[in-house]
Amino acid sequence: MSYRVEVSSLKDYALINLRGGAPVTANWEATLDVTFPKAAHTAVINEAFSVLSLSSDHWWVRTALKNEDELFHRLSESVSGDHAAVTVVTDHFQGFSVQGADAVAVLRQGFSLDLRSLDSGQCTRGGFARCGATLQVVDAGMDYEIFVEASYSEYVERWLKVAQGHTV
Amino acid sequence: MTRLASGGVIDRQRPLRFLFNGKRYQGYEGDTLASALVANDVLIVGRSFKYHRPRGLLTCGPEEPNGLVQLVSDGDQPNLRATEIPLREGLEARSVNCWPSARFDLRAINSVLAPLFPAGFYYKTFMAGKWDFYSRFIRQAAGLGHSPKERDQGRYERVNHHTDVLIVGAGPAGIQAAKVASGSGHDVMVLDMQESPGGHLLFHPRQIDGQAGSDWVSREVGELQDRDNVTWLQSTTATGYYDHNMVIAVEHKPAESWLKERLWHIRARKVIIATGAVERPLIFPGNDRPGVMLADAAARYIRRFAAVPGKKVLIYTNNSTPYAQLETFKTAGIEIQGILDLRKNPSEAELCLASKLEVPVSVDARITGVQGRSGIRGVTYQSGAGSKTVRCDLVCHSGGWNPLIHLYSHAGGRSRFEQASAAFIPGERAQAAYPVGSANGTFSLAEGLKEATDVANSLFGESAGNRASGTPNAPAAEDEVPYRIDQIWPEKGHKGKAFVDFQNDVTTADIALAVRENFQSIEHVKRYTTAGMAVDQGKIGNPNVIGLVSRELGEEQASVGTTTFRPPFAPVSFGAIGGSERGPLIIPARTTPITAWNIENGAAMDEAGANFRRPFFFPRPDETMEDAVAREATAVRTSCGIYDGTPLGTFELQGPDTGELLNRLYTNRFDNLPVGRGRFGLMLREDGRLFDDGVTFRVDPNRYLMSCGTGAAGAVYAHIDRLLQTEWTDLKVYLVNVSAAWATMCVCGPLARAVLGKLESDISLDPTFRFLDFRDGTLEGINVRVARVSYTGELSFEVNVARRSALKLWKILMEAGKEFGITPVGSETSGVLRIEKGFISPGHEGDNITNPFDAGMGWIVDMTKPDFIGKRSLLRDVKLGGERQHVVGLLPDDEQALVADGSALLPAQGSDSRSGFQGHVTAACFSPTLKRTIALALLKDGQKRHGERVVISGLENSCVATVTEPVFYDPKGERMRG
Repeated sequence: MSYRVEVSSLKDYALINLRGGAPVTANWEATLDVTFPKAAHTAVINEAFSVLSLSSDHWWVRTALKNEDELFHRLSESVSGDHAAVTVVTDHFQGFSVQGADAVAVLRQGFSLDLRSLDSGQCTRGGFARCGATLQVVDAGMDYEIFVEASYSEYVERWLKVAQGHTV
Repeated sequence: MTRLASGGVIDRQRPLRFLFNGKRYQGYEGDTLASALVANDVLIVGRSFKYHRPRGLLTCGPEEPNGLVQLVSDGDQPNLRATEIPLREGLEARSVNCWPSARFDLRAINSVLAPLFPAGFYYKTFMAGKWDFYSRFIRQAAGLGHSPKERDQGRYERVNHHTDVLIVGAGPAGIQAAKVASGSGHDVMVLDMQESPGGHLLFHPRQIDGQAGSDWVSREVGELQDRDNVTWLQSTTATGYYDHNMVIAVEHKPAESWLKERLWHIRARKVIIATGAVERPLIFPGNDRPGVMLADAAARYIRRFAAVPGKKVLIYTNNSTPYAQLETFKTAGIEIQGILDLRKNPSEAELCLASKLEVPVSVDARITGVQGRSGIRGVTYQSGAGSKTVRCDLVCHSGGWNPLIHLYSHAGGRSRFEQASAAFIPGERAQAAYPVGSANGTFSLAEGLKEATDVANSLFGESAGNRASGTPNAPAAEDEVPYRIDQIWPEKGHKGKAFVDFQNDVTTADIALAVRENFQSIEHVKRYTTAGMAVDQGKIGNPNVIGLVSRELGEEQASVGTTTFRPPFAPVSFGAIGGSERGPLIIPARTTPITAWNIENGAAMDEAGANFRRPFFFPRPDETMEDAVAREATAVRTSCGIYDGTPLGTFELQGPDTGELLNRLYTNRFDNLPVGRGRFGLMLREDGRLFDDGVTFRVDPNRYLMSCGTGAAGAVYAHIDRLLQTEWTDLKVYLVNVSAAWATMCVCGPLARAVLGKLESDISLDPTFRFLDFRDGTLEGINVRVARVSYTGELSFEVNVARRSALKLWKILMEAGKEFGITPVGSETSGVLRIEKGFISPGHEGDNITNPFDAGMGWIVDMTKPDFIGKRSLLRDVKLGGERQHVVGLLPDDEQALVADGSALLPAQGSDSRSGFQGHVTAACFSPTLKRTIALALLKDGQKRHGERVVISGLENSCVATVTEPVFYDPKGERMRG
C-alpha cells in the first residue's frame, strides 16, 4: 500500500542561474524574446524554456540539456561588461517529478510551506526534508517538480520512496 | 465479570481475548484496556511510584495517573495509559513498577519505610557517603516500565498542514465552533483525541435542540465531515502549542494502513481550544486505594462501556456534579450507600435529585479513613452526627473540575483563578488562541454552546468581515443541575496518607513540609515535591497542590499562581517524533559522484562534516587501519595517490567588486591576483579567530572561484551572503553556490604528472604550469579545469569536472594510474599527510582562541590592508600581548608512542619556571614517512619553547616529548611546488 504518486528523476534538462538588476534583465528578455516574471513565486513557461523568478534579481532559465551551451553563451554575451552573473548550475541540482492524486500528501511531509497557496505554474524555494528545495508547480494538486542540491539526490530519492509509503 | 447486558458502544458480537499480568481476560470491540479491566473486576492495575502502594484506575481518560502499563504485544511499549489503549485481540499488557507482581510487590516495603522518604528526601539522605553507592540502588528502583528491546517495526509519518481555523476538541463547543467557522467558508481542521466525537456527550445523556445529545452530535458531525473545507481527525491528540500558532498533534489511527502514527505540524491562523475539563480528586486519607475512583470516570465506564466498577458505592463530593450521575449508578444496578457532601448547603436542585432516587445525603461530612488495602471494605466519615462507618466497595469522589488549559498555557496564555468555579481558567491571551466551553471554565452545556457560537461568529462571521456563517444562534440545551462548588480542604494533621499527586506519590504532608522548609513559590514547591511533574503534568492534581500551598501560606490561591504547563500534553512516541528520519534516512546524507565507487572498492566510510561520508581509508583483506593508512601515505609520498575532494564548498563570485570583497573577507590581498592564478586565503571571524581557509582562483577579471572546508561551507556561504545583503550592500558582487556542480579529484604524488600525462589532453603539464596555476581544457575529451593545489605537500593536480562526467573521468584516471601504482586515499591518510606537513586545520588547531599569529600563519596576514574581518581583534591581541598558546610540533622520546588528540601537556620534570596545564595535543599520528610518532599541539608560549621538553599526559600512559617547529616534512615546500 502506498500513496497514489509517481516519482521520477528529471533528466536532460539544463539550469542557468541569472543574477542581475533591471538593466541587464532587459538584455536577457531581449535575448530570449520573453518578458521575465517579476512577481514573487511566478514563472514564464514556453516550449523552448521556462524562466522561474526566485527573487527580485534572481532567475533560473530551464531548458533542454542540448541547449545548455548555446543558451549560456547567448545570455552571458548579452550582459558582457555589465554587473550580472550567468552561471550554469545544471549539475548543482537534481530534479524530481512528483505526480499523482496524492502528490501533496507526499510533498507536505517535506515542505512546511502552505502548498495550497501555490497555483499551477508557480514556483518557490523552501526547506524540504532537511535539505532545501526549489519547487515548481506544474499542475496544482497533481504534478510538481522539485530541485535539490545534487549531493542530496540519493537521499531525496530514498526519502521520496519512504514518503510514498514504500520501504527502503 | 461486571458488564451490563445492554448499553454502551461496545460490540458484544465481537469478543476480544487479552492478557493482563499474565492472566487471560475477555473484553469487546470498542473497549479500552481500562474499561475491559473494570468489566473483569480487576482492581489493582499497578503500583505507586515511590511507596509502591497498590493502585486502581482513578479516571477514564488521558489524565489517568495510576493505570500506566507496559504494552507487551505492540512493540513492548512502556508507560502507556490503560485508559487510552484500544482493546485488540491478543493484546498483552503488564503492570509497571512492581516485582514480582502487582498484587504482591516486595518493594511495598517502601510504604513501611515512608517516614524515611519525605518530600525532597533525596536532597537530604544522600548527602552523606558516596553517591555512586546510592545511585546503583536508585537506578534499579527508578523508572516506570522498561524500554523496548526490539526495533519498532511501525512506520510513522510527519506532515505539515496549514489551515484557517484549528479546533481542538470535538465536544459540543468544538462542534458548534466548527459549524460556524466552516459555514463562513474558512478552512477548518478539527482534532479530537477520543475515537468518536461528542466529548462528554459520549458519556452523559443530555438534550440539545430537543433531541438526544448523541443524535445532535451525529447529525452535526456528519454534515461537517461532508464539507470540502473541513478536515476532521479523531484519535488525534494536540500535544503542544508553539510560537506562530503552530500546534503539534499525534494521529493515532491514520487511515493509511501502512502507518502506525502520524505527527501533524499544523499552522493555523486561529485556534479554538475546546479541550473540555477533567475532574479533580478530593483529598482524604486513603484516597488512592483501589476502588476509589473519580465519580465522572465511574459514570463514563458505565455509560460508554457498560462496565460497572463496583456494587456498593459511596459518593463523596464538594460540588454538584455527582448528583447528576446518581441515575447512571442506579440504572447500572449499583447500590448507592449515600452521598457525603463536604458542603454545608447543597442546593435544592441537588437535594431534589438525591431525594428522587432515595439516596441519603450527609452534609458537612468528611471522610477520615478508607478500610481495605487491595480493595475497599468500607469508609469511616465524620459529620455533625459523629463518626460513622459505611460498608462499600467503591468510593466515587469529585473535587470539581479543572479546565484543560494546557494548550492555552503552551501558547503563552496566562491563567487566572476564578473563585466561583474554584478553578484556574484562561486569562490574558498570548496568541490567536480562543478557549471555549469547559476549557474556558464555562461548565454549563447551554452556556458553552452559546460561547462557542459567539466566539466563532466574532472571529469568522459577518462581523469579522466574512461571509455569514448561517449559524447566528446556539442550539438550546439544558443543564440538569447548575454547577456549584465549595473548596474545602482536609483538616491539618489528619491521620493517614492523603494523596495530592497520585502519579508522583505526593501527599498533603509533603506539601506542608515543603512550605515549612520555606519553599514558598509554587514553582519551588513543584520541584521540591515533584508534584505536577512527569507525564501527568498536573492535569488533575495541580489545583489541589496550589490550594494546599495557599492554605499553608495563608494566601489567596490567585496570588499563589500556577506552575507552567509544558508540552507535550500527553506523551508522544519517539517513532512519531522521528517520523521517517530513521534507518537510512536518519541524517540527510550527501554523496559525491564517486561515493558509490568508493564503497564498491572497499572504503571504510566515515563522517566528514556537512552530512557527507567519505572514505576513511581503503583496507585490503587482512589489513589493519594502520597498515592501510601507512600504505596509502607511502603511495602519495613515493608514487601517486588519488582522493575525492568533491565535498569541499565551492562558490562562484562575480562582479567588479569581488576583489575588494575578498580583500575584506581574507587576511591577505586578492584584488591583485592575476587571472589564471589561485591564492590560499585565511578567513577570520570578527573576533580574529580562525574561521576557514581555502584557495580562490581568478577565472576572469570579474569572476572568482572560492573553495572552503567541507564542514564550514554552509557557514561560509551564509557569512558572505549576510555581509553582501546587510553590511556591504554597495559592493557589486553576486555569490552563487556551485559546490555540487563540480566534482574534484586530486591526483597527488611525485608521479602525478606522469599519470595525467598518459591522457589525451590539450592541457600542458610542463613546468610553466606552476604551483597555484589553473588551466581549462579537456582530458580524454571531457571538459576539465586542472589546478596545481596541494593538501598533501606533494606535487598535486586537482582536476575539476562537471558532476555528470565525474565518475567516467575518475575511472579513466584510475586506469591510467595503474602502471604508476595509483592508490585511492582516505581522509585518515590525508590527515596523516597534513600533520607531517604541518598544515594548519582550523577545525583542529583553531580552538576558538587561536589567531593566525598563534598558528604561525603571520605570513598570510597583511596588516597594511585598510581593513579585513578580524583585523581590529588581531590588533587588540597584539597590543595586549601576554602569554598565548602557539602551534608547535612534538616529537615523543618513545617513537612508537600512542598519543591521543586532546592529551594535556604538562611541564617536564626539572622545569622550574612553569607549572600546571601547558596546552594540548591537537592532532597526532604515526608518520609512515618519518617512521615515528609526531604531533601538533597548542602550547603556551610555544614559539619560544622549541627544544624544550614537555610531558604528554594520556589517559593510560604519559610520555615525554621535545617541542619542535610544526613542519615535519619538506619544510621549504619544494616537493609540492616541483
